Amino acid sequence: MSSFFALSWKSPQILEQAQLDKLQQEYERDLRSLLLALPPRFHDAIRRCLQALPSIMALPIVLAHKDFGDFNMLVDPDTCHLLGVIDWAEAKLEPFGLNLYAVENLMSKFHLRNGASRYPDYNTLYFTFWQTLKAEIGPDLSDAEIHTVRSAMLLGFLLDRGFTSRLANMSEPVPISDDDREGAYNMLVLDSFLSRAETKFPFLTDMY
Amino acid sequence: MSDQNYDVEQDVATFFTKTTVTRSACDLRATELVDSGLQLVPVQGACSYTVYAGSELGSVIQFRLESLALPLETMELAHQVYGTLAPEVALKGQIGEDYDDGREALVVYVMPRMQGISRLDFILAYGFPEDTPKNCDARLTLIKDAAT
Repeated sequence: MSSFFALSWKSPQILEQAQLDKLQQEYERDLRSLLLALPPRFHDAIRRCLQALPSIMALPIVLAHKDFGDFNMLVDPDTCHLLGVIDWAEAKLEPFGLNLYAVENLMSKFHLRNGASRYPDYNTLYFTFWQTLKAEIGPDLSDAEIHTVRSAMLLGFLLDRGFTSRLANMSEPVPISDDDREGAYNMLVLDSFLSRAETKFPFLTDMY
Repeated sequence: MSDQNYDVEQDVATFFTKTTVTRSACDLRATELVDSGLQLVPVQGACSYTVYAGSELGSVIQFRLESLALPLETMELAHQVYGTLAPEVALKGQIGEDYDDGREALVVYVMPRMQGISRLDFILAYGFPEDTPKNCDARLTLIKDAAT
């Protein structure tokens, strides 16, 4: 059987302090520009990340796949066990958790106009994911550390969806805006997971 | 991708406008690198040309624009950290050369062909209706694997 996120936690990598500082500065700069560019309904999430930044930087540094999506995961056609992941060219070293929001796509589906809707078994999937992750990376992790991991996930989500593409051969990413199609789509993603009551990340409202 | 409107030959044609190397030169190199057998991978990108080759088509040969060469250190680290989940990529040199008109040389990679189908194809083939016990099991299996 294969595994993914906890495996990366268990192989921590080393970044020099200068590189860590640079990453933190980039995150902070990006979050502040989102605070200026995005509507107020997203500001709580952005502020949570800003506040958590020092704790996020203290999480293990891992090699993170940056596009863990439906094209790139290979599964067993009978059981749906994960067999492989492709497209590693853009993988990068960063604090654990920034790419975790990709699992939301395993519990919800997304419609181009209507946004996210949850699978009928969403609650089971959500609970199982966090239980399994916690059991693997450290049953003794405190609630505060889990909170930090979720802040990291939020940060990764905002940096991804709040900006234009970060692909290597594209121009410098800038905050999205409503007035082009891609921006409007990303706004729908942000709304689905940060502000709409039926589909927002459960940890933004509940304690579980 | 299982989109019926997808035209793979179009992607291939677009790719070969960006390089000085011909498709037949790539195919020839592929069969030199591994044994017989050659098949176009059904989904192509705009920046690479990829074929299955070798006995039982068990290898993947990828030709990438030089400007978009794979970061080998990252690929190696991925294989180290994620084991068989990440393919072991071998660099097999370069073909062609850069021209003044912007067309590029290609870098050649060989990796083992991975098992399984994309999750997208899984959903299209088996994913409906969504709430059958089998589909709930499939989602639960995948999310546990992802977490672990």
